[in-house]
Amino acid sequence: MGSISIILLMACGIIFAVAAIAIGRKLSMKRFNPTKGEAYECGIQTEGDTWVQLHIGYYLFALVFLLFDVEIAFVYPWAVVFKEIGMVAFVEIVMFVLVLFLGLLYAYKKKALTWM
Amino acid sequence: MAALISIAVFGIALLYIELTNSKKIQLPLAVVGLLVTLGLTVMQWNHPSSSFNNMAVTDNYSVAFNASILLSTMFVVLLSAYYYEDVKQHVAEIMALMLFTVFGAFLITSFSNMIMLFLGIETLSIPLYVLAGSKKFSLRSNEASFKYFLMGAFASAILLLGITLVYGASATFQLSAISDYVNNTKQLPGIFYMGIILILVGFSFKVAAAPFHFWTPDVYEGSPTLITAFMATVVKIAGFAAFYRLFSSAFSSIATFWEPLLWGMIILTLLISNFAALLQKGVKRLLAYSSISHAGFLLLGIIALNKLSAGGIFYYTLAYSLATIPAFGVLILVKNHRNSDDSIDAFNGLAKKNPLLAIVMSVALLSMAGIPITAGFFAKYYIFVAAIDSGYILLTIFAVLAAVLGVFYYFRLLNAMFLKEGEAEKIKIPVVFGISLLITTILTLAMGVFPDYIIKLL
Amino acid sequence: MGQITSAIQLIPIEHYMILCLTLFSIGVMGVLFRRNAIVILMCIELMLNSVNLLLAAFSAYHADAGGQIFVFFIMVVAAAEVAVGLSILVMMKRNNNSVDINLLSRLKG
Repeated sequence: MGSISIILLMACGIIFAVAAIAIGRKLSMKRFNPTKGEAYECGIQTEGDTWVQLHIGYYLFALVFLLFDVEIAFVYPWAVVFKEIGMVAFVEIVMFVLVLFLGLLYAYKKKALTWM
Repeated sequence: MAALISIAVFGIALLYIELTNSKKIQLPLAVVGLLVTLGLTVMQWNHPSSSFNNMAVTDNYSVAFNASILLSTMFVVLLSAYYYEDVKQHVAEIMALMLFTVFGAFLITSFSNMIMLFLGIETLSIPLYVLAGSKKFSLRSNEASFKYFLMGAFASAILLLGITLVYGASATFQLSAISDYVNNTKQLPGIFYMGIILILVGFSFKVAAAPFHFWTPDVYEGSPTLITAFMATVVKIAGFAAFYRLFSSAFSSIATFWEPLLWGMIILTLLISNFAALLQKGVKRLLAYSSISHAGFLLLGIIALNKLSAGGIFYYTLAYSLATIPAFGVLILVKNHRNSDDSIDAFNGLAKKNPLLAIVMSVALLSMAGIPITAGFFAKYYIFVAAIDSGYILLTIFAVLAAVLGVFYYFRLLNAMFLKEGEAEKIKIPVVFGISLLITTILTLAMGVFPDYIIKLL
Repeated sequence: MGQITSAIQLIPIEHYMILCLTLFSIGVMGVLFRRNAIVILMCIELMLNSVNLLLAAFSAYHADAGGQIFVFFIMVVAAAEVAVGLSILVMMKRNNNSVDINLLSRLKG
């Protein structure tokens, strides 16, 4: 398969998408009324400024999550070779998780996990 | 291996001590942790072993550097009792972070695989970013911390690209295998050379050698003084240990390629740091520039690359640490009594009312300047001998001139302490603080009088 | 695994290198010239990830798993680094009310 067909396919796709949007925009009638400007079926109208700052609690959660979530990267390779290595691998992963747990416990005791 | 586990366990224990909020056992626990680790480290002397699937080796080289890292950390921790006297929270955490830094330092003194090198450098740096910002509400500390973080992360990325390119050429991370690859390949690919340059750049960022030194004065000035003392000593010892280990083992066969680069860096470092130090008004900044200039002298040991280098670098880093810690210690006391004024004028007339402090500071400064009977003299001497032995005569002459220039700015401080008049008051020296200052001073003098015992270790 | 490796090896290694070095350079430029601290953090991440990509490519090219293992370590370390960096940033923002690094000029001399 030559690359010309891929390019052709991509070109057709782009032209089709652009054309659909452009023609729709050109042909449609634009009449504005207040109901149209509202958020569609999204509950009640918002009050005040929508750019409110997020609570600082989010940031702590995010950091703790970020740290613990990447550790899973080490478990995947471990799982692949687990059968070959056997018991030693099990003990090692238990120790690894234990150290992680110590970290989590510390975060918990420091009240990083309670909603402030 | 045992030493590594011990320092990590004590670090975690300190973290949990922080939760119980019992201030009394923090310092003893940290000191005991360091002593136990020191014992475990010294026990490995003459018992080379390898751990982590041969990714780290413990030999006499790493044991010596680890011991000197532990000693420096111990003196800094002893100083912290007074420094954090009024601080209610987070003191144990700061100590724990110091221990974690030491953990990283251990990894990079004993690595034999590039993965270990990277992990070690990161484990060393990440706690330091936090430590640099440990004065939470001081804008200067914030700024120092952020600058350090940016520069550190940037340097790590560059170092990492260098390691990757070397891996791309040699298909291995193991130092011995890289060395074999270099010896067995006739025409090394361009990416290998590129990798070496990038690794060199990354390292010179970390050990603060010109032209990648510009973050150092700002970070050293902004960080809490105690942390500056810690950064200036431990990072330098570990950084140079790793620097020499890497370039003497993996890249020693193509020294003709990287030695000219290092040559230029040494000249630049010595020039910039010594002239900039002459212009400084603040003592902290002056010590920061002096630390950069010491990096220049230490690079001389790396470029020499002969059997004298390892001992010379070890002696130099130890002497430098033993001089830097009391210098910063005295600075902490003087600064506290002069409403955090750390200009040279704050030292005016210190010798009249506080002869002990003045003597401690003088010994430290003389050692940094390299005046005989202090350790600093032999430190410079051994490094110069190693460099001359490898034929770098011009460079050594230049370094000697730089050392002479260095004497000027150290003497400005001595002049202020002994000859100038100032409204000095009696400064009370806390006991533990005084012990730390005294031991470092005595060790500096002892090393200057009996240099053979240390230099013969490696 | 063998199939994937040989598929990757079909593309010359130079192409991977050019891509990764371009990404890396974009990151370097970002760190040097952008003024917003968050953007700088993102650029550092870009640098690290371009290295990851290059490591994976080299690893497949040499048929040696070591490079891919290193990628795991880099990912975890990068996460730790970013966590610390973001905390420092939040601390700075609290005291300074801005993340513009031009404000970082108190220490000079």
